[in-house]
Amino acid sequence: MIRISLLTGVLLLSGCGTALKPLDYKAERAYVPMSVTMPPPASRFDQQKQREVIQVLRDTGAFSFIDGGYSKTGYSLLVDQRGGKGAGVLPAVLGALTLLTVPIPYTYERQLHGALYKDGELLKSYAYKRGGWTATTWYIPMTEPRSESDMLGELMRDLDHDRLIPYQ
Amino acid sequence: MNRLMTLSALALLAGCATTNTLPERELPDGKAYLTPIHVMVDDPLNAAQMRNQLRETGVFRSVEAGMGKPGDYSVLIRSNVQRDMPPFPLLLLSAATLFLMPLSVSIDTTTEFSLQQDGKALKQYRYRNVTHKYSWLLDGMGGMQEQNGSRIARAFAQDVQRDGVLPEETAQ
Repeated sequence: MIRISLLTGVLLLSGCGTALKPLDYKAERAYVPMSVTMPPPASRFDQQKQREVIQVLRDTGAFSFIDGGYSKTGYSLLVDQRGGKGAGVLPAVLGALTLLTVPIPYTYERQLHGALYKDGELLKSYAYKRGGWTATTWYIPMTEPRSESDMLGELMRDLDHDRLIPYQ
Repeated sequence: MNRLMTLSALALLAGCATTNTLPERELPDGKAYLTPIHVMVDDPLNAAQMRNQLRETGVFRSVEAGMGKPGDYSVLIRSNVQRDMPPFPLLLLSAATLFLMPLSVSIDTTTEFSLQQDGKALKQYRYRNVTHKYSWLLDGMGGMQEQNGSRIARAFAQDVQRDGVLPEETAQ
């Protein structure tokens, strides 16, 4: 009995993992020191997510030094993940009431806007969108975090491809 | 009974004081401002707070973001922050007692300041501050991180002022 409940506990916890996956992008050279800006977090949850985004960006090795905030000189990258929609109130409440055992399908859409500034002037902006179907259960892997890291990886590849930021 | 209550109240009040390993530095009034610095912090989510803490020291004429123009003085800051929380069962126990059981929390920060001009390093400073406190229901963890960072910023400001690496701003 204990073993079964432990196993379900582990499954529940790992199946519902919302942590960002590492990006499928590895930089060969690092950019000059620059800043990465994100919109002000609306909640503790947002704050935690932003911390994760910074960490996965750092792990690509593309940045030698990540500062925050706008500046008059130098390069800055705005990363905005707002917009899009997740599970509505109904699937969320139903999912919670059934302890995430009954699959309630819903559609989601995730967005990522990137904007690169040099000395305060916009150089180029990037926009990505991912969407799809998923369900509110613990036994179907969540696709939303994966689409987020997908888009971040694509942004990093596009930045590398455009060569607008000088390397160190 | 009374004695016991007083004793436990005293223990709670005294035990909950925040301690820092880096002593508070006195910054003298009436000194000339140091020349403006451009500060870059390798931590985008805390960069603004760090710059504000340097502004609060009142030692620099201005603290600006970004790299700065040629000839400007810049400071590159890298921090390593370790947070120490009690083990999870203790957290649960504290929650079960409605947070009346104090928990030991600490923030261990090591910060390196590299003072540069035109990409040439002028001087390096390194500080470590461990802030520790027992937190419970009526005395949360708020302000701990601020205190931890502010002591480091003040220590840096005092050392820079003492060393005279940065020129003083002449009165206008």
